[in-house]
Amino acid sequence: MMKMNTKKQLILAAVMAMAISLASIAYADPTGGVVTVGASESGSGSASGTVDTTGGNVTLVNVTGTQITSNWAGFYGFITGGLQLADASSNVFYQWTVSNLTNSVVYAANGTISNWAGLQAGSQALAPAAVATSNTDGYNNTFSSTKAFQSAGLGPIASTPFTTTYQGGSSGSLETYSLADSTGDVNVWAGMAIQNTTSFKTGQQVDYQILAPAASSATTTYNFYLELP
Amino acid sequence: MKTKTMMVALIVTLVSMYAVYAAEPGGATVTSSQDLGEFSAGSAGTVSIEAGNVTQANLEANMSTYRWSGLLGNVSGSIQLGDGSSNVLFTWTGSGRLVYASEASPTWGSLADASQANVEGVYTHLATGSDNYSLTFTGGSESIGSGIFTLSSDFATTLSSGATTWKTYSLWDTTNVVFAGRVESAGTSYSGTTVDYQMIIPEDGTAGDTTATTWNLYAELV
Repeated sequence: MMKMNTKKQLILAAVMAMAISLASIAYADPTGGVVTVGASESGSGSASGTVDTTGGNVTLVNVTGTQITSNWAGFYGFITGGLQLADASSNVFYQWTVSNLTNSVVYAANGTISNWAGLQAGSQALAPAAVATSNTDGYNNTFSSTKAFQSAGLGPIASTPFTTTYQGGSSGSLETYSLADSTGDVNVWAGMAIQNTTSFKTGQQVDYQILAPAASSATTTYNFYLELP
Repeated sequence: MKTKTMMVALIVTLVSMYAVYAAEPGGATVTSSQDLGEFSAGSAGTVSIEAGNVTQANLEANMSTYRWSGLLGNVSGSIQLGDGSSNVLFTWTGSGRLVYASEASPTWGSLADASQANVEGVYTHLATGSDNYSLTFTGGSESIGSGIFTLSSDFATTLSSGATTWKTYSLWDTTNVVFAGRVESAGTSYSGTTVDYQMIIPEDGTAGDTTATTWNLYAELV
């Protein structure tokens, strides 16, 4: 009598799997950005006023002036790019077009970042000495607000000092966050992007604006990184 | 008497044909695997500035996804008729039809098309970003081409350096998401190699997550 527990086994298949990545080694790091540098300009301080005096007179003279900072510089511009799944030989497996660049982040660092996950909130103690002062344009008077920094792939980093730069002649919405690497030796100034928004320049749009320290007697070099949303 | 004997024999055969298990894909043995690495982040561009200056710096970059991984390779196997003690009565050489990938053992009898909500409920990191689920699985619903399941599903198409169309379907067994890669025997992969299947699967690399994910692989042969 035929056994009633006869099975019909469908398949046992051998699959030779060449995995691009079964391990989650692709974690959220910003990437180096190709920079196209445009114009670099500075403003003008206010011209001197004059007052005429005559001997024996006491004159009340109220003065006001506009002085160019000698401790900060600004970056602004547009962002382009895409996301892709590719191997170490840059063969592309899948590509995505980024249609909305808002919430991209541009990072300007005065050194190389090797551990993005270790970023910490910046502070006056970690800031360059030239701005770690109580001067009018000192660090605490510039990055005077705090909130959590959160990007598409990093954070939240609690209580991160930030400031906003001007748009259209008044304080705007383009935020610059003060961060530092895990050692505290590298300062990172992170600009949160808003696609095609009003810039500080009349009639011109931008995606990002960043405020970062700079020396007045020598150039300061920043490394630029980009994180897409 | 002869006629009666023949009828009995036929009944026995019919009964034994119904004493079978429902068809389902079989577990796939991975005979070799190789991590082909990930896209290398570009080096940082630099700008030198002086205080008091405002500098225009436009940026361009391609960035690696941290929400997905790729899987590709060859499929081989056989279709067998055997018993519970693995004694084989008959074997056929098979070729692949679909490769299934799931983190858990699928309930094959409940397999259906996965909705966006099903997928994002399990893989929450696929709900956001420029490479989210809906921006990846952009192909309209079509038959997955299975000989076991009558199913239609939307799909993602990964790249080929030749003319092969590599499709990955997203399926749901009421609890788990099962991704199915359509086999195209001896097709051309994204990098120009010859493979039978190529599929895209989720991998959560957000917030610095470096934990590896283990996937169970199954194959459906034809």
